[in-house]
Amino acid sequence: MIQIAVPATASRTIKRVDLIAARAIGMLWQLMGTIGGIFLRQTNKIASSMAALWATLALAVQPRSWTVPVRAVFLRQMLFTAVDAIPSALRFAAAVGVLLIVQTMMWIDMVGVSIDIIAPFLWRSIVREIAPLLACLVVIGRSGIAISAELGTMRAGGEVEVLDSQGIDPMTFLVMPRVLAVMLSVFCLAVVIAVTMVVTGYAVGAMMGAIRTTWSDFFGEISRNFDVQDLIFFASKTLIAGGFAGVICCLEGISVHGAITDVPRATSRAGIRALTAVFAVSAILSILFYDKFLVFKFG
Amino acid sequence: MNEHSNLKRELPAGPAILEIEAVRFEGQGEMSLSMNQFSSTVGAGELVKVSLQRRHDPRDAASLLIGLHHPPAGSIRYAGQDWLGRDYTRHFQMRSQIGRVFAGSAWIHNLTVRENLWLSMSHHGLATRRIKVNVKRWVQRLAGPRGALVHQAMRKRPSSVEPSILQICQFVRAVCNQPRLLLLERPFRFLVDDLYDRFVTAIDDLRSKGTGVVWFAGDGADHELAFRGPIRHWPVVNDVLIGDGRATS
Repeated sequence: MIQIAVPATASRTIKRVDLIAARAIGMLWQLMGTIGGIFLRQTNKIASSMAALWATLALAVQPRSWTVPVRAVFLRQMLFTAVDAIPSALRFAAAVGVLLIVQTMMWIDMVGVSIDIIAPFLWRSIVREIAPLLACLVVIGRSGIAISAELGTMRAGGEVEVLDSQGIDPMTFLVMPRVLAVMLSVFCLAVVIAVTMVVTGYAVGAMMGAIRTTWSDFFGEISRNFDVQDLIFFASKTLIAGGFAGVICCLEGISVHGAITDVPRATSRAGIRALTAVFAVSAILSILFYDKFLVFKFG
Repeated sequence: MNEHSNLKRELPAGPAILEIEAVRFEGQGEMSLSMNQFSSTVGAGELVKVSLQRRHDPRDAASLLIGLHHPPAGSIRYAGQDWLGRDYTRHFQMRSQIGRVFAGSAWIHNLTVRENLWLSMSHHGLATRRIKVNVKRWVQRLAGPRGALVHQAMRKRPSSVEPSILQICQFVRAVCNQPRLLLLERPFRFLVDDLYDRFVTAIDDLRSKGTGVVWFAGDGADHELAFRGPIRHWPVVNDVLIGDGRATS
């Protein structure tokens, strides 16, 4: 057997290299563990939101869930989320409608195209993307955060336990009617917003002399370009995005543990997560529905 | 009052409504009651008295008995059925038969007192007319001369109602659907002395119809109240609930 004598300095160097390599591998593992942990946590959150949305819909289709108090909660929530939100939705829609029409007219002048080319683009961008998103923003900002704060306060104050003790399922009484109300409100407000944007846009554009066609031509051009696919996409997008927004706000509120001082934190978290979910759902649905990243098919 | 109690006829003990076997439990709060190998039963018509000290909080223990917390060891059965598994509909149905007077937070604050009183009965399908009759009858019976104040309070939200009136309302809510089990957490706190006899008689009447009662007592005049037998005791030693209490009458 041949033995090789390693000098003492070389031995120390080898040990040092070994140590550095071990540390590097350790750090790499730690990094992978952290990334894996974040991924699992996010996946878990998405899965629980989807499960809660599914449970809500499963409860909603059972007639026995719709007891008198549950119907009252639903109607009260619809009133607050949809009806009371109409003035703010109109304000936002009018402002965005004006911005959109001014920008459009500027491009028409610059590129030199006519209104019949630009109208479909305008209408589709409103129906497919802007109106649903704006409706979600209004509902989350106005009602989603309020729902989260209300449920968080109820949880921290022991009110959820009071319901449970009386044999009332908090999911049926607190979550289901609120999520459904948010879903329907987003849909209804998106319709209001889309119509307002077009009408205000036309009115302002015509007053400024930017739009030179008559209302009937303008409206005719829009209605000619409206197809069933748009309606299906509009309905599914508003309902799904609204459902996720509602579920996230409810879950964040109901999962408050400890004191009432935890409620503001849960509320702000609910707002951010609901907005993230709405943008993500909108993007995913656009890709899935039109099977392409660029959703606008001109003409 | 105690002399008067000796004249009262003892109620017959009925079948077990609540069966607790070898339960180990520690509440979430610092002052919560805990259990260690706790075993006992609450029979129909029976009253179980838990004498608390002022610092004790019975909420977690009461919630444990109705399946809102799950013990790490042991079992709790209500009317022969456990609180385990995912049959939530059955659990909620079971809880709808249980009346509870809470020691702490007891109200849904964004509803009026009337809506709170009606909530459980309405949710479980009782007709509006019957709810109205039940509530009216129990308010008359429990509140007596203070009935007008209770009716006035029903239009308000709980946060703006005086505690003694709210306590009457809590009692009305707990008893007006003829519960099979009644959990009373410090029920006489805030109550005016004149009404004690009315409440004791009402509880005894419910017991004669088969309601089992767990009474977390410990306020000022609680020891003077004269309920009919049989009364069992669950003593509390070092914040631990002991199930082997002797039966007294």
